[in-house]
Amino acid sequence: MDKFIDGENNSRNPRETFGVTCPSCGGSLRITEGQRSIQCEYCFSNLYIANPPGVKSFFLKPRITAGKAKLEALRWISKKSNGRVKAKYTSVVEHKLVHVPFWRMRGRFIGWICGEEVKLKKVETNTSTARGEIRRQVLKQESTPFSKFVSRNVDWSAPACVIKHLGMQGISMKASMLKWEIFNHDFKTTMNIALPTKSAKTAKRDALRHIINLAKPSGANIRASRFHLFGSNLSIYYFPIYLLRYKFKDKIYIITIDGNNGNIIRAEVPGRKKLNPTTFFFIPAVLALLTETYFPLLFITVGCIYIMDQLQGNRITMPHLWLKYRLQKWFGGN
Amino acid sequence: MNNVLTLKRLVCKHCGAELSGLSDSITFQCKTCYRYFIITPEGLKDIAVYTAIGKEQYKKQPLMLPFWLVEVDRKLLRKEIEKSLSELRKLNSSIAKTRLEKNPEDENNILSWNLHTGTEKLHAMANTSSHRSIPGSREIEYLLSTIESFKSFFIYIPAFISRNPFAYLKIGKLLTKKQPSFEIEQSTLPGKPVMCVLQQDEAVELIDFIFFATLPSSILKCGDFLNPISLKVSGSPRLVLFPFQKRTNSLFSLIGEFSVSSSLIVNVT
Repeated sequence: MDKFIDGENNSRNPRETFGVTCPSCGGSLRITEGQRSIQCEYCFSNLYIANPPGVKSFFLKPRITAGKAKLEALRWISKKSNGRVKAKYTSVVEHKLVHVPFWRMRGRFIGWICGEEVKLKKVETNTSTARGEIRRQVLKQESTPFSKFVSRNVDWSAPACVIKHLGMQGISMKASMLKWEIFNHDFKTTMNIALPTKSAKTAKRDALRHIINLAKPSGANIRASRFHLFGSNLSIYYFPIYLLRYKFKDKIYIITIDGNNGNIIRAEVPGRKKLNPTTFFFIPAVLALLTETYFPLLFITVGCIYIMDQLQGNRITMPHLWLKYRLQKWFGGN
Repeated sequence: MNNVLTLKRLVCKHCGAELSGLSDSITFQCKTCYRYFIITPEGLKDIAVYTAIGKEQYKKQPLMLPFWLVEVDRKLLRKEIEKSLSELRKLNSSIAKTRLEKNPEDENNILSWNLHTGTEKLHAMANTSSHRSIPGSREIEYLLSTIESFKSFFIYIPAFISRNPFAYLKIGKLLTKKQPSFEIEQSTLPGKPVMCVLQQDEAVELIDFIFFATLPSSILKCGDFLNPISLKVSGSPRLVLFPFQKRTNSLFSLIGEFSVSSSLIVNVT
């Protein structure tokens, strides 16, 4: 008998799965995205997936712990800063797990576009002057009417809220390979969830605009167009992300870590202070000049600068600490 | 905001027996009374499934692919086309008038158009960017008379699963263009799962695209003419199974008498 290939068996097109409960026996089942019916593997009853219209929400349980995320982050910072920023010099101020919402639109897109393709063409023209005929190359605009049909599968996603330092544009690629759970709104009290600020209407509009822009040929005047998304569904996916803030030299830096696989999504690493060539030239030159003219003048100058710094700072610093601070300020480094 | 996905038992509303079907399709058949059901956003509903019967008897068991048959209101279509044409003509004449007022030098050119035939005039108008291109009236009349020559004009919307959305346009276009003659009978044969994945409402949304795909390119390029046209459905759409024969790399429509690449319907193994 002719049979449709099931999504799970098709390795080229992986589809995400969702956890549901059998209404007859209460058994835990997993349904593949796009599947409309299933047989319970425990009580063998035939079931269909009631898919009410509207937005569906799913969430993903984090696969890595907070401790592992922190460890991963510190290892990454150390690697990226060539060992300059190590765990013993940094202190983690805050680390929390946040479920970040993403809008996701899946479906099939069909469209018809009609217009004119505009091309610039070089045309040679002969112009008669007093000196005779002159050949000139003129750029001429040529427009050719066109009409085309567009059809494609759509998988669009975008963050549903604004989170600074998130570093993720979408989850389409990730989503198709993960095991999602159906989101219950009671989770909002127990889990740390970022609430969506972008409405479903805006998300739909953004998705359609994005798809239409992809379908429209560049450099063409569009006279008429018609687009339709069918078999589409707009859903919210709550993706786990660890947000870690760490302190290094009185400055706070942020790292975002993927809660599913522990990969660093975005990170801020303390930059090495750039060496100023003018400082490296002028300060030794001044020092050499002072030593050459009258040697005690060097100590007098250093003493004057020390006294000025104490007066400006309104506190007394030990001379060796002040010297270390000054040298660091002039020449950089740790 | 959240509409939770839930599982419900697939049970016949008439006899209480279990329903069977394919995992991706939205239509199911009762194992005992052979009635068909479809999943809608409101729940499970009865549906009449028909089978298209061609003139010839099939030697081999054909592959039955589902299509939504949507009948188009031809009177309204004619009205819409005529309205769009007249509005465009009016617009073009007003554009020509304003141009004449702005550049009196063009007068000779525009007056000389009267000496030309319709197509020459159209080409001349199309060359000027502000003019809206209009299809030839003979071409439109031929199209309308062809549509009206059939007893009823149907748009065929493929309802089977395909990973390539182009299949919907291609196969729908081929059958709609052909408008084949066949008889239909209500399908009540046991063990015949319907591979339908498209809801009736979704099918109706696609009729304009499939109709446009059947049009010649000369009409399709007149975007301003086609843009206001939308087909109106007369009667309720029917789910009809059409026989296809599997060949080496293609599927042959036994009713439409055309072949399509089997890769368009790749899910058939």
